[in-house]
Amino acid sequence: MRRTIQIIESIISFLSGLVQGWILFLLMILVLVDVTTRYVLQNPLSVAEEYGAYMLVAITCMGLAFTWKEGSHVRVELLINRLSPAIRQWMRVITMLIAFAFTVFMVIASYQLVSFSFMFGTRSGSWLRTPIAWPQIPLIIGSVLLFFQLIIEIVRAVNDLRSRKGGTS
Amino acid sequence: MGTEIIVAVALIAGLFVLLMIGLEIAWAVGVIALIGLVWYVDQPINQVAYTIWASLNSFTLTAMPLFILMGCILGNTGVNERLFNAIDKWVGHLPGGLASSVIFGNAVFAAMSGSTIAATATFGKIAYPVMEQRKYDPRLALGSIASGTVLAPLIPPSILLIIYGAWQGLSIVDLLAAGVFPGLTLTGLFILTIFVTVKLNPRLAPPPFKHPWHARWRTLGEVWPFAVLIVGVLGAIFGGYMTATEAASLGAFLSILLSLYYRRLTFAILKQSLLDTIKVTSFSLFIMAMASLISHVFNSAGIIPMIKEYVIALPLGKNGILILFFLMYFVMGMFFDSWSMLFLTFPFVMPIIMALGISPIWWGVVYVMAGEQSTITPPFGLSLFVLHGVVPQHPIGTIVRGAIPFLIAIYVNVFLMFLFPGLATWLPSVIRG
Repeated sequence: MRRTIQIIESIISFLSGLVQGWILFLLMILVLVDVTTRYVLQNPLSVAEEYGAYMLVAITCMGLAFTWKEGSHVRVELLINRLSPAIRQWMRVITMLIAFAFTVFMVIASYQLVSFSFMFGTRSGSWLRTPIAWPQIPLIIGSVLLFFQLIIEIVRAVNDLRSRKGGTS
Repeated sequence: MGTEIIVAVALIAGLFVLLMIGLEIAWAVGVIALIGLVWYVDQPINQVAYTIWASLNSFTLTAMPLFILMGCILGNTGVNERLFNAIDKWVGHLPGGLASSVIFGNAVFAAMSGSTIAATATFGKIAYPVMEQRKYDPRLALGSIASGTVLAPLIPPSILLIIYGAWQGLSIVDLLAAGVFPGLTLTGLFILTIFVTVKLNPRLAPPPFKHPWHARWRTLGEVWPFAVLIVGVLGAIFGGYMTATEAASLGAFLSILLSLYYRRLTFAILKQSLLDTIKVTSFSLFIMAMASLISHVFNSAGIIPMIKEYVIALPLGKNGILILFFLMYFVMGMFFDSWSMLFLTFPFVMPIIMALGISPIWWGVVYVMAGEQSTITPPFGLSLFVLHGVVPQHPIGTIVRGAIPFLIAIYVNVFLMFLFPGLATWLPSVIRG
């Protein structure tokens, strides 16, 4: 069990963290190349505006799981911190279950969105005429990665609760 | 109308409960929006994914992670230390010595970073040890470090204003230009605050030390790459040569070159900076996407128009309503940071601002100060916690007591913006021609 969790977490860290970091680096290069072709070659490439926005969607959605793993999603802890550790842990399990339920809806909603885009063959309005379903796929992958990260977090929190119970009884 | 009130109260109360039990802000907003979407507005759930897609698919918004990357690289490599030393040589003779240097340092760092957290951590690490060594009172030292960081989201490039502008469909160049003069007046007011507090209590700081001219000129030779970075980025934006996103790319790239020039960049630091940027981008833009969703739901349910009509009908007048908003942010600031407050309240506040005929550019800058004052007010002042993390030997109370005089300066600056709206609106009009 522990080994499986480790493997899933390292996959999430790679796909949701590191890969997105390098996509950001690529975004920086892409925008600079676009500017250079405009000013130096007088022949703008004009792809950064469209692909840059797609990259932002990918970075944000795919990065959700890694950001959760690192504890960087903001929440109000002021009142929670005043509760006893046991109640606090229970509350954490409850809030993570709520987050998990919402993430399930996100997976379904993203899948529906991409399916409709494929079904209707929707394309971008620019000269590139990109089939819009492809840059929407990170929404599904990002939600699925988050789905697995939350399962891991919930299992961990429940185990903590159990060990606390075992320790106190 | 009756049903809308019940739905509005139920959803807002639900949101409040979810936030208070510690659910992550984005999910709290998302859950309530989803309930409203399915239960009251009766729209398909794929609206959730469509809103995420539509609100994030924006090239303008791409400037945000690129500017954050620029700040992360400069912060993580520690090259700012040279900049602070140089500024201290030039302005360290002013009253309060190093405290004034911290304020000027923040103003210059603000022109490269735009992130309050990055500024607080940087100056806490760089400036505080020197101030402690020279026997500065911790209240003045920590108060100036925590407060100076409020300049980061005012002086361009401001990440908070970029998010606001991209989200609300406003000109980023106008917003960034609008922050220049209020940023400069606040810098002046902070220096004046140090001058007055040190005059009233000379034990707060040792006598200022005047560095010889040759030492000052020598520092210029060390920090010229910073000038290239600032002039390059801001010149590209305000000169009309590049969009904010393009200038942000240039800034991130130049910050890599600058760190290489000072031999401080390693592969590990670059990787860490990229990952830090991903975390900030993902958490903040996901809240923004969820705020767009709740805005869509509340608009479709007729709740936002109802709140708008109610607030406008209050017998307070335009300025009274603005003061009411300011008080609301003061209270909310005890629990939320400025970014979260922006996302949570603007779906309701912006329609009122527009209906009152208030310039959204001017309001953006006022909001920055209303939101950022919360970073130095207890109990949930983000800068207080970040700084306390850097100097754990001092209690948060010491930092708060040190920051109070600077809070007054922030309120005076807001008052000046009410008296002279041109402070924010004049420069954008000049740039637009």
